[in-house]
Amino acid sequence: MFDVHEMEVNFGPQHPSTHGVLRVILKIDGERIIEAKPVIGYLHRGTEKLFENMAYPQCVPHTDRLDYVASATNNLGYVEAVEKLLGITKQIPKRAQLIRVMLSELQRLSSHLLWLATHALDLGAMTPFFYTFREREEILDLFEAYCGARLTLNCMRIGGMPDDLPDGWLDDLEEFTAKFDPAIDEYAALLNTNRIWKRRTVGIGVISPEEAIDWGITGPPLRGSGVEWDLRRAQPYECYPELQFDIPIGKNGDTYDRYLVRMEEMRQANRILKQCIPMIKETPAGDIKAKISRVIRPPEGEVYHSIEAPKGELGYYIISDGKTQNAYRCRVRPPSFINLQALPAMAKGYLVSDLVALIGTLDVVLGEVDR
Amino acid sequence: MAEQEGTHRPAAPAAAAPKGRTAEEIRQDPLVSATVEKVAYAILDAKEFAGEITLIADRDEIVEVARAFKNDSFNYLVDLAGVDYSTYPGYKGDRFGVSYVLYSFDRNVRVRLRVYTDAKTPIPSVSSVWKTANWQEREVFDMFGVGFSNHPNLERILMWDGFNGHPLRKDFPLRGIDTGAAIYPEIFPDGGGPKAGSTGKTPQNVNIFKGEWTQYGYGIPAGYDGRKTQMEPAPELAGAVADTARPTAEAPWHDPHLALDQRLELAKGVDLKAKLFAAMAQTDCTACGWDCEGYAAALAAGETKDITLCIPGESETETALKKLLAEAKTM
Repeated sequence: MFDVHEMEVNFGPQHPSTHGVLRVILKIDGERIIEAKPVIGYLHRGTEKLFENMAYPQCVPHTDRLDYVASATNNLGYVEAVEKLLGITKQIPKRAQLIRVMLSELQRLSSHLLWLATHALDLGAMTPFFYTFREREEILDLFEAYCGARLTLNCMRIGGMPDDLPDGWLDDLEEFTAKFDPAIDEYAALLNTNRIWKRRTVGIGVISPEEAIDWGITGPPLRGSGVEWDLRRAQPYECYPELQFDIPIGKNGDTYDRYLVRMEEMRQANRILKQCIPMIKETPAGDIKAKISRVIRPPEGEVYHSIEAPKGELGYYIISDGKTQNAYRCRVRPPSFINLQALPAMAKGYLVSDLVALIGTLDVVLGEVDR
Repeated sequence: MAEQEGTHRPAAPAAAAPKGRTAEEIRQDPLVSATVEKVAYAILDAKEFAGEITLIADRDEIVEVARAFKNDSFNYLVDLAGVDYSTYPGYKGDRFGVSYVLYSFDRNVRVRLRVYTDAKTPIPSVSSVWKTANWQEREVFDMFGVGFSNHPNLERILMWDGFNGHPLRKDFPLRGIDTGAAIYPEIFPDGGGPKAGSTGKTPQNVNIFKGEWTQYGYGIPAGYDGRKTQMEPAPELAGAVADTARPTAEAPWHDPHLALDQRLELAKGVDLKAKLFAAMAQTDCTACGWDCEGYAAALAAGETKDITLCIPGESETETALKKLLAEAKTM
């Protein structure tokens, strides 16, 4: 019969479809993957070590650099964890909560738009890239209008927000939300029934709900496998209990379902944004900070707090010794690191070109994987 | 796609438990009591902060405890974090802690388990209970050097194989260690940094960098007052001319290019300390443990009686010092 040739090849770390510096050592037989072994750590910057050596407020800009395409949610998770440690979660003014929610949902949109652009580009569809970046640009402009930065926002503070919304910001947001739903329909028209897209995604990288939980997968990949679990609903933070939104779930747990889940999540995020605009107009302007001590020295204790970041459950585990202004230990539970772990199990038996689809569908950001 | 009939719809979040309960009361909490009863022998202590329950478990029984919790609907291992308690105020006990955050989809609550271990004793791996523990335990091993027994592939994950040390240990310097030594052994001297060659696969096999951060090059540290303090003697620097070896108005003889008799000529009619200073080799090499002026002051004040410390001055300086000190005694 045929002679079996096993070959070992390096996929990455400098490969455009690995979304950064992910290296996968592949054992292949022709085009078929026998074994995949991810090698990470190329972007390790010792963020957790830095957190132990800086005062609590100084850490916020460093959280930007974890998942660098979704910095607002990184900020949110960190400041909420410290607020929980201080016991001031309930004191955050409504207006600050709403600004936090709006920035987080905009960040979710921007992160998902970047995911859609690169995922489609990896699988050979170039046009969605141009469409999604058109809208992403407007979101980044909104960020820039709020805090001056477009990617590394550093836009939240322990106890509230640094600034109130600038004049006209809500009008810009309203304009954006009005035209975003038709924009999603445009992306969907390009891909949903596209024969090539479906060939590349349907039935690829199937993961069952039980297995997804065993691997610790969270976020859209977990919901794509049919587990209706979203931290915004399960353990609500900020003013999410007052907002109406649905949690989309998939049926088959394949790449196509995860694609549909993220598309629907974008619609839901836009729905949340639309609800926030009238709500924030009722709150008093300038009421954006809780009254907290300038020196942040939490009591002795430890907390784990997590939020629903665009990629999944982003948790911060902070231990305070009660004596210093530094965290004794601050562990980041990054969604990408945990989700990436399932890649070998998902890739086994598929073709090398499917690995590109799987890396895209897990939506890993290496800044967060390596920290 | 936006279906409302989920397979796992979470229950409403549990109310935060009141603070200040005793360990016994926490064990009776309806949240954990059923499981704790099953593995009561392995639960050593219980703590609570901000409504989060932490159960301290026996290190060697952690797999049993984990399995009991998994059977009791805590089927999701959220997070596995190592902690180095070596500098924690007032802490006495095994150096490392490993926290397991568990989550129950059915009850929508989290519980934390914790075990303690020292650097040598491995913790039984829970990767047979949850697949997700695999990489997380590797990370704890990589960052803290805590071993896990029965782990399928306990390798470094973020640092590279052969890296020495474990970055999140409290004694690992924040500035990092000099990895140049491993790459350029011909430039960096032996012991100047971590050495390549250890596999880093087991905690015993890792060559941990124990020494101080070495500074290469030499010179007198800024702000050093040679007259008051003695530095570590640096015999390997003997004869090296420091930046400070320049003649000044007060000490015109402080010039390493002048011969001994010329220097003593310049130092005629000054006090004993200045005369002794003029007899030194004037290099400020610190091989004796002071600079030249500091050594002279120490001799004049009687802090040291040893006149043989000036290595670059050789026997010439020694004879001159002997003569000057003898003259001072007779006067």
